Amino acid sequence: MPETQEMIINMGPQHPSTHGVLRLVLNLDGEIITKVTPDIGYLHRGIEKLAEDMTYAQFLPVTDRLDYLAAVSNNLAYCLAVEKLLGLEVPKRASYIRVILTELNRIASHLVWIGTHALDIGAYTPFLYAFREREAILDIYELFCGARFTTSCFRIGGLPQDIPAGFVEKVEKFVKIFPKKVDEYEALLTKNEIWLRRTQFVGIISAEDGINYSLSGPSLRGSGVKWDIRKAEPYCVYDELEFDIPTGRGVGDVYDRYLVRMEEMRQSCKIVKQAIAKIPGGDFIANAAKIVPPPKERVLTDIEALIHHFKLVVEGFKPPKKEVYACIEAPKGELGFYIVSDGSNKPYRLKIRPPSFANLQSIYKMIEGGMMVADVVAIIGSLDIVLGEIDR
Amino acid sequence: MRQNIIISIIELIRGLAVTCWHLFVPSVTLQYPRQRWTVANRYRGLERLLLNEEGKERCVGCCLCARICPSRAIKIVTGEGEDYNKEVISFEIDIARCLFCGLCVEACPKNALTMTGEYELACYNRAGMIYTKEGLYKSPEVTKYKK
Repeated sequence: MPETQEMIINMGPQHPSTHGVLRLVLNLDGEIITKVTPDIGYLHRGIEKLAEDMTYAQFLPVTDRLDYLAAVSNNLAYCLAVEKLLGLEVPKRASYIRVILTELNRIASHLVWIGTHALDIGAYTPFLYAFREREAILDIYELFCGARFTTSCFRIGGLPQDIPAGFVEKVEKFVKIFPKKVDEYEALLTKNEIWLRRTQFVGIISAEDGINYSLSGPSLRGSGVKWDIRKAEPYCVYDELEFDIPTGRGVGDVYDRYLVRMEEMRQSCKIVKQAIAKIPGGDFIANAAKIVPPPKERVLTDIEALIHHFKLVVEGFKPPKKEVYACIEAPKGELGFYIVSDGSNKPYRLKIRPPSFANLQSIYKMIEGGMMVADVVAIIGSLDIVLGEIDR
Repeated sequence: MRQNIIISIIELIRGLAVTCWHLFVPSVTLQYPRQRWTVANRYRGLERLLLNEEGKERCVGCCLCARICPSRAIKIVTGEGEDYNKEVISFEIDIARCLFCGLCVEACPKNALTMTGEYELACYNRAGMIYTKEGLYKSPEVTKYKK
């Protein structure tokens, strides 16, 4: 009998279920995968290098383009890193609004995930329902900052403007109806036989392996590790809000990661509900004349404010010579910014720690144990990767 | 085994019930070219230059907007005008490069620059993407859908 040979198959970069421009080189023994080699870099724009030629304020809109499904989380992580570098205190009111917007963003990101993940596996309906609810969140963003997708909705030191009229009512309305919508998605998927067969015991990764492969976010919690930066190292006002960290049923497969994200949407909803009721009064941006440009009314009337405004726009502020790392729990996992400042108005080096990049490498482990080509689609979907932040 | 089959059939019906119920829920689709979305007040669309109360240009050519722009989409040329005053000779925004982040509007110390609710900016060539002073002072011309 002639010996059979391994076959090599290219999946992507234009494959719809690789969620962007990811290319996977699969070695196949029949239908069983023996080896997988991810090939990344098709969406490389050199964002880290761009930062070295921009002032700190100028770089903020560029962070939108990292994880473009969760632009608000990127903005928050960057702002927190620069604020840490400057030692700047953000007003409580701004922090609360930041939390509301980032949690809504987590829901929006998870909604895109459930839509596309289910679509990859063969369930078309949740996609339509999830995008309907996501529209409501994008409407809230449009109301607040004027953009739906690439928001740039924070500034270093706080927010660009206060919440508009009708914002609170709109958020409250969304929070009221949303838990019922999650029940709807769950009715379609959670106990559906086809869904169970496609996701249960597929792409298993143990808690220990997950930590070793530096998984983070819902993908790690699916393996049963209770790790959430919002609880472990609370930033903004998360220590004043009550919420649980969901973990799966302890197997660490695609189904577990699905359960975790579904529960996370409910928890985020709970956080928004608490935060919207607790928004305190006060300023929406820090009162720091050497960092934050003065308000427009003063620029138009006061010569000193005008001089400050010119200096801050043209030159920007100069943070001390320091290195900082600040991270947040983004929808996909730990998103961190490492900034090296040499005392000038531009960062000397800016390193981004994107969650998807670290999460993707665990695909080596998940593919073990006789996974088939169709399972790779389910695994990639469950990791919730975005190539914008992998390639940067 | 048999029980499992019954459970999975019940679950399939439960899913179907959700889908069927949506037959009676009002549609949320916006029939785009015919129906139009009214944008929020703060919407960040196409930039526009403003005139002051006397109908003169507010822009003084300080170039702060060009300086803050992360993608360097704004080009301003200034020169000497009448009475030895500084004059803005040309003001160009390349909207093919524009991020619509709104930093230029925040940077303007004369409130001369603003953002409109205009979002239909497609055109047939790259030259049409560069908006000059003349184009930025008047409301943008938009081809509206005709049935």
